Amino acid sequence: MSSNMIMLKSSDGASFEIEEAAARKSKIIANMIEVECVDEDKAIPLQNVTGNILALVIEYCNKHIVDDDDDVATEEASEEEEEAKKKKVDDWEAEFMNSMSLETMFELLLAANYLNIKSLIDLVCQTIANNIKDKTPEEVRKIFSIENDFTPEEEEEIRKENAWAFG
Amino acid sequence: MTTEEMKKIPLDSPPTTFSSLPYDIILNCLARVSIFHRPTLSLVSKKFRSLIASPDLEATRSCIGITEEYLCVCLEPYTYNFFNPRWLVVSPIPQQKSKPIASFSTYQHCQYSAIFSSGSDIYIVGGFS
Repeated sequence: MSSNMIMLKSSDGASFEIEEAAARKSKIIANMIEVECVDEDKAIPLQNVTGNILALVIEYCNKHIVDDDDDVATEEASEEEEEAKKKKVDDWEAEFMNSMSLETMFELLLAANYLNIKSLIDLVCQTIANNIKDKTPEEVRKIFSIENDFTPEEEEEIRKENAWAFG
Repeated sequence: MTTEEMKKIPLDSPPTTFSSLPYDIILNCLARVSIFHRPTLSLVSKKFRSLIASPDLEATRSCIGITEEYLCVCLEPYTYNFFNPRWLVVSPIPQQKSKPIASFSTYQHCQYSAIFSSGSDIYIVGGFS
């Protein structure tokens, strides 16, 4: 494994050092490394990501690069071990997502989208989806601060349209 | 204003909301919610309603590999000389009734009954005549 370190700089000027292997989780940064756009002494400026969000992105990447290495090292691992490892990652991800507000989730999602980190996009989108399933329209509006722009008549019309047949 | 204060104020201000996320990302979130919750989500706002009805939502679902298992049943109300089977998706949510699948209405059901099992459940299907 390469232990090259690279520097990332957030939009608000905070610098972060990250292992190249972890930074490669971002397709954008991986491409920059491929085409040798990365100068070892210079930080990569990330205009759209603030420091507090970049710290979360780096925490995620670091965690997952360790897991990927584990996979390589224990290729012969038994099924139970694989399962235990997967559970450990799932637990970590649940804890990670639990620790942040919805607004932070949205900002993390924007950053993951900008940096093109697919697994992180999937994780945050799934967490948001889990937040709104089993909720009433009123609850979803409240969670997302969305205004109800239907008239009562329109709302009634849609309820009828969506009525499920054959009780 | 000190540098410290400046750092705390986001440069491009308004707080990030769900509605302000890019279209693809909003679809990616909604695509992960079960189709059985769609009637509820359609009632959230006009934007949600058009998103839920959009063909892009199905495209996103297949793109990210979301699949759902449904139990479908075929009912044929008895009518003379008239073949009128109706396929319904049985909702796993108790409060919801079964939803007809419009595009399936022309499919024929088995004339004789068939038995199959899924997990610990056994189903008998067809055999109306």
